[in-house]
Amino acid sequence: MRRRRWVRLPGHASRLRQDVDEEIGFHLASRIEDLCRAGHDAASAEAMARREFGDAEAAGAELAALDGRSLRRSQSRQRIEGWRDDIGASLRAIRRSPLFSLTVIGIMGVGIAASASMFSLVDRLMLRAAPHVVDADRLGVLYHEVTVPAMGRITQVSRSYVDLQAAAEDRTTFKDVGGFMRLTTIIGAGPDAREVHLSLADAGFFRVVGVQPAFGRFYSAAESGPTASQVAIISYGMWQRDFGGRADVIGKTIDAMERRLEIVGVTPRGFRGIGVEPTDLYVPLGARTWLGGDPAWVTEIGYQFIRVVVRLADGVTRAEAEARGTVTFRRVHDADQYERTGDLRIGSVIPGRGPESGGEGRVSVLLLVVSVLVLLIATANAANLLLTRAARRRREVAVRLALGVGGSRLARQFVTEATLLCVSAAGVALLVSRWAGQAVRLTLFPAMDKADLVVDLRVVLVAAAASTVAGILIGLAPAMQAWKRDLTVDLKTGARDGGQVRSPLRTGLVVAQATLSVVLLVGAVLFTRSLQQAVGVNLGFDADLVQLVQPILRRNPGETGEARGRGYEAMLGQMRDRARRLPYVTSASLSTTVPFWMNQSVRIRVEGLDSIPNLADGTPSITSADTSYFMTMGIRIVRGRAFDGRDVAGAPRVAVINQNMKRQLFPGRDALGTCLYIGSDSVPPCTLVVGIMTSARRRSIGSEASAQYVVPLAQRAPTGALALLVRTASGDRAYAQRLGNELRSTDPRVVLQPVQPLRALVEPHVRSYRIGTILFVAFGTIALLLSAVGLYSVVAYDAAQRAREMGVRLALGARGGSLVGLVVRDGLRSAGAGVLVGIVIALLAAGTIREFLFDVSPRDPVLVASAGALLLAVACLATLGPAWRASRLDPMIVLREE
Amino acid sequence: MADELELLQGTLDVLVLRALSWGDRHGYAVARWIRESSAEALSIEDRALYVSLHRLEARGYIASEWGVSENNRRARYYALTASGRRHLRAETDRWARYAAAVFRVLEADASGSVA
Repeated sequence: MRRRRWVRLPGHASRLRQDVDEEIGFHLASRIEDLCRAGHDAASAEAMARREFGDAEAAGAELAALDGRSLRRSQSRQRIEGWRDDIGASLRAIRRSPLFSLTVIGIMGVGIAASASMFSLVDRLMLRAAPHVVDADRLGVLYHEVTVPAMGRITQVSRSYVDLQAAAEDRTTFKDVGGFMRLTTIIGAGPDAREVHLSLADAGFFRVVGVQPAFGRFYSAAESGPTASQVAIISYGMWQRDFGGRADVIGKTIDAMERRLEIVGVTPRGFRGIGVEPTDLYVPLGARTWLGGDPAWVTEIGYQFIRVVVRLADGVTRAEAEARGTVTFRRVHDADQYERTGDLRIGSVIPGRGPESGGEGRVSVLLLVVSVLVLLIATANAANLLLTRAARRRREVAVRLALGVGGSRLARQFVTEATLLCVSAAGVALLVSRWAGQAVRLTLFPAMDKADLVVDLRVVLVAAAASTVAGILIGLAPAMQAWKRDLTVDLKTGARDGGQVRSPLRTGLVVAQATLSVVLLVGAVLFTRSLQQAVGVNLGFDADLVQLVQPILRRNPGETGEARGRGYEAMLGQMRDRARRLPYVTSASLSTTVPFWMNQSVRIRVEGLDSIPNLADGTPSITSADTSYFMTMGIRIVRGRAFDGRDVAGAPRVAVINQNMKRQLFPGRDALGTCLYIGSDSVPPCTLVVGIMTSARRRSIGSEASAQYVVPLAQRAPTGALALLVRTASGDRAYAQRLGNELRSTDPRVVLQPVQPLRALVEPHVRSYRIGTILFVAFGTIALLLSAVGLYSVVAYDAAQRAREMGVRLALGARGGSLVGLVVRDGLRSAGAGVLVGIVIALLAAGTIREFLFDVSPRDPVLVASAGALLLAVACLATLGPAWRASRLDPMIVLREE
Repeated sequence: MADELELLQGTLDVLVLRALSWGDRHGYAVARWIRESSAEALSIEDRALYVSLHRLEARGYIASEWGVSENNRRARYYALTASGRRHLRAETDRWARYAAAVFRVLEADASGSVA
């Protein structure tokens, strides 16, 4: 009888050859033995056995190779089976405690959704060029940097047609060049009239970007040049909306830019040039002439309105192109003292990186970092929940370890379980962020293309990666703890008592959550304060009460530009008179300037001064307005007088200057009665300063109010644009709509742009502050809630663990109140540690958010402390529940349970 | 040994599987069984036999484990797996039909009908 002792096959490739040799050796020895028994002598038996076997050496190599193959196969099979087992076991564990699993999935879902939504935003703004832009790395936007004394380095994004031509001729530097200009215009008439986004673009624009028409054709260089043809290209969206997506759209006409344009092509779906805002309609660049009737823009370098897009020639680097372009630029601008020393720069076409991008791109990057912090908090939170549960399953784990389940195998299962939970959370998060991303877009970037910001493959990949990493981190926490367990203790005791009461790892996670939350809360508090400051900044005029009315007048056939201008003024005057009769209107005035919208300045000379000193923001701006201007805007006269019935055409000319202009031009002396020579005026009579008014901000909420003076419209006719400003009785938003409806019928030729309060013009300047605040507050709130939940779960668990101790204390006469204090103190110690560390981090990181804040110090002690206090207060609330429960324990019941 | 027959390709695998169908054996026992049951009419190099064993293992038809032999030496034992048993049945069946067909042809007369 043979005895058999089964041993494991070699687990290592190094032993394969050894085993094979042993097997062959056994065979030969057995054969020789048999042959000897049959009568052969030892020598001949060995020779015979070896002959029968064949080449033993070659056989050994061949067999070892075969075994290597089967070893590898069985290893991979085992691995797959192992994973299958792990996933099966994890799914069972998840199903066994659905509430727990849903909580973890919910917490991680919030964290991943926050990061995924923010990533999709950053992706659009900072990482990727707009759709249909080919090879964006070789593309650039031309801009010029010019140093102007008193203004410093200024960046000019808009270029003249001369600049565009100069760049286009430089074929060794630029492979292709195109130019465009965006504006909004009204198409249609009467009640059907609506505002559309329009681009004037040359044929090169489509070529340089690399886009192909979805339908029809793009116009040619000849059609789009200075003598523009009446053709138009519509967007895919407009094609679908207004033309039902029908093929016969080509050859149809559309009325825009006061012309009847023939539609020749359709841009592909999602194409929006190089920006983030959609364009509905493209017309030839030469249509610039139709706007003012003046073809001077073709030759004058002063007409700067074109954004120039270039594609670098093969082999030319950005720096080389900038150097060569600068030479060309200086030659073209030789006549201008400042521009002739300027530099040409080539900016990125990625929306958030270009020279003209607002703060949105950088804010979105900051917020992505913030959302990752939220994800970290969620991860710490989920890890804590899993730890707590692992502690409850301590006995089960101990039994499995005692039965010989490897520690690494156990760890793998924890990690698998956590990863499965996180992947489910990522799935939930992606569904949520589909919706949340749209919400973010609508509230924060209303102008952004609707087709954008949908969750795409990249976002899915980022979410999947985030969830896997988070899952591994979360799973490792309980796995690490299972590893260094003392089995005998765990086996002897139940889940209730024994083992350590408080785990340093769990406490550490609570502190980490509190730390990160405080950092976010400090950010939220600072941003909120900053938004308050930005919104509440004293603009110097009543932005909420003053409505801007700016109609467009359709041109009569054969009408000259001059006649049209007079017609426009007359019409606007009628409109003003009509508005004054409305019951909710307190005042109305025509004005040639509108703060944050349109400004005008002309040369000015002051009697008694040799020259105008260089002012912080250039020449003082001039406004021609009605007598009622001051009242309408809410600007006070601080000295002298406002305009009145005396100041008519032909009467002595007068002006009212603002305090800022007074301070800068007439320091230390009385400005009243001073003589101004405005524009081309050079001989008396001059314009007399008769009053001084309060200053108002005109360009940005950040900088000081600029120098401004007002002259009566009756004495100085408008040379450019003119608008109607109407002051309503209150800031009721409904007034804008009512006003529009009542003024529209003034003239049948009128196309009325939407009436809007001046606040709406200021809003874009506040937007990046608002975006930051909304998202910071949202993320801060999530963080606060998550850490409250995390603290609650740890405190509640620890309190339950110490039930026996509490029972003993109560039995010995401790009062409930002292136990409440005990538990709350424990919780607050963790939270307090987090607050301290968090505040230190917030103070250290202050520099990074300084640029995003308006008039708030990132180290403002009151604000920083209030964020810490808020967290402590919430932590207090989170611990009160478990504490109260502990104080209500019945010592008899607790002690009998033992 | 002039009567020894060369083995057809693939046939050895079937013989090895058959040898293991009686129970677990080590390689030498398989060789001895084939030698004895064919009355030494088949010429099989032992090396080829081992290659067959290891190849069958790599394909999952047989499994091997180390054990201790009759004379108390460490030896590698082979056992049929479930899929090996299925494979043996299929191959035996195929062999029987193949042999029958060949025999029918060899015993047929000129007209093609079996006598």
